[in-house]
Amino acid sequence: MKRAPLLLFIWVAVLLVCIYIIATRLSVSADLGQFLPPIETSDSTHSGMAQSVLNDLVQGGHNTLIMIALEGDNAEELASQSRQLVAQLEASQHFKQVKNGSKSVLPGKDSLIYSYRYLLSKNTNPETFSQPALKETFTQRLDDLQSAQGSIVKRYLRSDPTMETLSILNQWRGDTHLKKKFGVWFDQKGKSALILAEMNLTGYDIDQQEFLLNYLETTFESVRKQTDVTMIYSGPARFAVSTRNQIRAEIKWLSTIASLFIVLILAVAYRRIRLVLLSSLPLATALVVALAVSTTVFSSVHGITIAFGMTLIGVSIDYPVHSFSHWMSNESLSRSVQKIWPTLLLSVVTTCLGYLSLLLTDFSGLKQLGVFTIVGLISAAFVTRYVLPNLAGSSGVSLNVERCTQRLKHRRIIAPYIGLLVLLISIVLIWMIPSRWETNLSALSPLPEQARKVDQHLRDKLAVADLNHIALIQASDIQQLLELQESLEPGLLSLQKSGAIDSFESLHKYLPSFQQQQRRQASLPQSSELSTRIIKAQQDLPFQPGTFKQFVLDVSASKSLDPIDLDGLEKTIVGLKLSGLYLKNDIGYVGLIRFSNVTQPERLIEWAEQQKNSQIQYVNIRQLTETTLNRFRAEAMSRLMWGAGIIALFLLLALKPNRRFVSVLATLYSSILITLVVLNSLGEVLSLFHLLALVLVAGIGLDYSLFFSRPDHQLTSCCRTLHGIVVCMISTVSVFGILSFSSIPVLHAMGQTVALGVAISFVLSYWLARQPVIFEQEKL
Amino acid sequence: MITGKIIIKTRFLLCSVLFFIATVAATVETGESRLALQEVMAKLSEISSSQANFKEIKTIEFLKKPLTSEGRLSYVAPDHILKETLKPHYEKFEIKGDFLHVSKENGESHEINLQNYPAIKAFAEAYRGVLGGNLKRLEQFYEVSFSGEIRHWIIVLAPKDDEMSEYIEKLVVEGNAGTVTKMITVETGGDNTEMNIIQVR
Repeated sequence: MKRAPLLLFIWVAVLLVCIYIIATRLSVSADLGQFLPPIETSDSTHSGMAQSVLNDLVQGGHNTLIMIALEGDNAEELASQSRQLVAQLEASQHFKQVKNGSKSVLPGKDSLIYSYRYLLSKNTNPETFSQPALKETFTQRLDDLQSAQGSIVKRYLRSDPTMETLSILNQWRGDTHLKKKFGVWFDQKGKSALILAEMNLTGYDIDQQEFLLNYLETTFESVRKQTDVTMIYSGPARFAVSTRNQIRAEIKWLSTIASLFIVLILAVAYRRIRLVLLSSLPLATALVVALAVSTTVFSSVHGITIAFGMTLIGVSIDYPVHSFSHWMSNESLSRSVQKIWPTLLLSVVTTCLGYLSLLLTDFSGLKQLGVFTIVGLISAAFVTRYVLPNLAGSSGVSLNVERCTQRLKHRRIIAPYIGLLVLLISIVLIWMIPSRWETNLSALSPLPEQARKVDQHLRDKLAVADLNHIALIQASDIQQLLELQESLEPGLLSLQKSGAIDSFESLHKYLPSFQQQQRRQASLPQSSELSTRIIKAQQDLPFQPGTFKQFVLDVSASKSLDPIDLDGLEKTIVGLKLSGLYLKNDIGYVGLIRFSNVTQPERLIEWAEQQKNSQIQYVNIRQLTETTLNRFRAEAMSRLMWGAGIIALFLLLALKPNRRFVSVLATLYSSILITLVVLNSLGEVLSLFHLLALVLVAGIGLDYSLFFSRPDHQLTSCCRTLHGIVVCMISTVSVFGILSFSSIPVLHAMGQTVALGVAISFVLSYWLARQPVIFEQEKL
Repeated sequence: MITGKIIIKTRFLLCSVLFFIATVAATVETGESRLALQEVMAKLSEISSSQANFKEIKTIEFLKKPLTSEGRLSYVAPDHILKETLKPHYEKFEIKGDFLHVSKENGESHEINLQNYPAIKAFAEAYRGVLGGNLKRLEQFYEVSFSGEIRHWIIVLAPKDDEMSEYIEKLVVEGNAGTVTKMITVETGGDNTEMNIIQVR
């Protein structure tokens, strides 16, 4: 008894340290990419590129774009609200850019496009500035002045007679041209006014994103007043925020109901408030310690690790339950725990060994999950063993074992070979009803179908490209990337010409490389030379002498400009487009050439292979995600197989090759297989979450069969074992049964699989793993 | 301190009185010309279609001599305007509903949706508003002021739209009862285009 205060003291101290670590150092990451395996392609540079793209795709976290549509009223009202909304959002500083097409498309003379026109335009070559070409240009402009677009031409004529500014705009505008009504963007049907906004975010911060979205909504409310106009919007931020909020809300009510259930079940089972409260201590301790250790080991803990980990170590609620059920009134809890400790420890260690296989994977998400769960389970076991007995008081749990004894007496014991037979049958069944595996990445997302539909709808309307066919180009810096892309241009144009693709988007279309810009600068004539040519060219034309003075000055100024770089161009009207055309990775920059309307993908593959530069890869994103997920499945499957093997080996060492070993193993494997068979016959499409849930089922099944097969020498003790397992089973099945009602795919998959698996494990272990020793003794 | 306050108060009072007088005066004046304007508009709106020839003189600061052109105009109420330039180059400029159709001698042609170009739309509305005698429509896009009398009236339109006023300072339309005789476009910066209209029918 002297040890008691010391143990309690250590426990409290550990808890405090852990809480301190969590409070000061925990950083939760939401990068789903961590949870996916590295992409494998023909060579390593390629996989690096594709990996960055996929990560970016999956998380979309740094993408600050919001697509907005206003609907539900006449076009004039919608247009006016669109203008008001844009004006207010722009004034707020929360948004980098807000566009609805209402801004004058003509760049002013102070704009970057205007000052860099000779560096940005394709037309900058010696020919453009030759005397005959200039004469032709001037004559053409004279006609233009009298035509319908006279006023626009006049605005640029004196400084930009070749109209480079306008031709750059036309190049940039490309094929995607949104319809306008009342001066703002509308969809093709003219029913919704469209707006594109880019948020001003400082890093990946969901709270900030939520704040900005709320700001958007309240601003819209103030604009819409009493009208019927509704706003729909979407974008990565929306996804992030609503995912988090939905998970929060669901977890709140699900966990409330689940906790109530557990309290109720435990209260009925033990009829003592103290024990109900105490039974939560191992789990609570496990959570705190697991979180603290993960925080210390990894730089940031993944949100999914926490969510899954919590469910996986939820099994530790069983430890105190076993202890209490075995607590006889004539002894201390400490003594009862000691009695079941070998079985409990065996169960915990075996389960942990199963999770150990996760530690050997090469992706950090699963590693984290392994560490989290192992640490959690071990600490829960220790709290059950050393802390609970000191807090539980002295009177044991009295159970009415009369009926149970009768029932156990009349049960036939099944020989171990029946267990092997069941295992064989389940193997045949799983072979006959194969699993269907999820290959669509978006199905892993916790977003409801509806949100994804809205997003696609808005993307279509706003012609925001979605990634499907892309070519990736790895470069060490932006300039190298642009030069590479420029060298690819002729090939791309011929692909376009032949109809293999409709069009392509690439960074170099907007931003010429420094080399290219310098070539253009070099081709610009000296000002004295240009002046002479102009004087000659404007002979016989009615232009006043000196009309093109500003043109000469601008050309001369362009010669000495520092070439424009990415930062410069991002401030212009194409800024929004640029962000989707490149991304950074460890090696440098990855350029994305996006193809639209790919009719002959094989030509693209051929084209990519022909390029001498091996830094280019054509990617079909859909295929890529499919193969990635398939690889993930294979990886996870093989881990589970390894886990199963390790468990078998360990049990063999711990139990020796006897009847108990055979029945425990047969129960464990058959219950997993049968669970899979049931899921398959229900038509469930299996994903990562089902696999992880099966790991949990294995842990619980192991626990049940080890306890059922304990060598007990007293009938009452045997009944107490049954009581404990029944309480565990009812609480687990009801908690996960509740989870299966969740609308979040992850929780639904977990809940369904675990509830089903645990029920099956219980039946099988009760039936197959029962230890007949006592009856044989009684018969004696 | 007290004196200061009183002075400020008196000034404020004085300002308010002056402002009040100015407002009343303005109302009286616009009230009178308003009636005349409405009379002219009524006359214009009676005409459902018209044909005319035009001569246009474009004066641009950086050109040694004005550019001249001529051609035909036709109008069918409420919103169809056709301007065909015959000299020096053929160009057809047609506005119907929300669309502007421009075609040139060399076969080049564009159709643009006026909704996409507020400045051009405002310009088209000026033509249509005046020819159709639709004051309400004109006032949607312009500050409208009127001078002269029914035999020789002058309507000055100053654009309300910021984008348009970047290009155009004002439009001056002259006429005689229900007939438009001259349209002068004064561009921001001083260049102007004078279009003389000779009614055919």
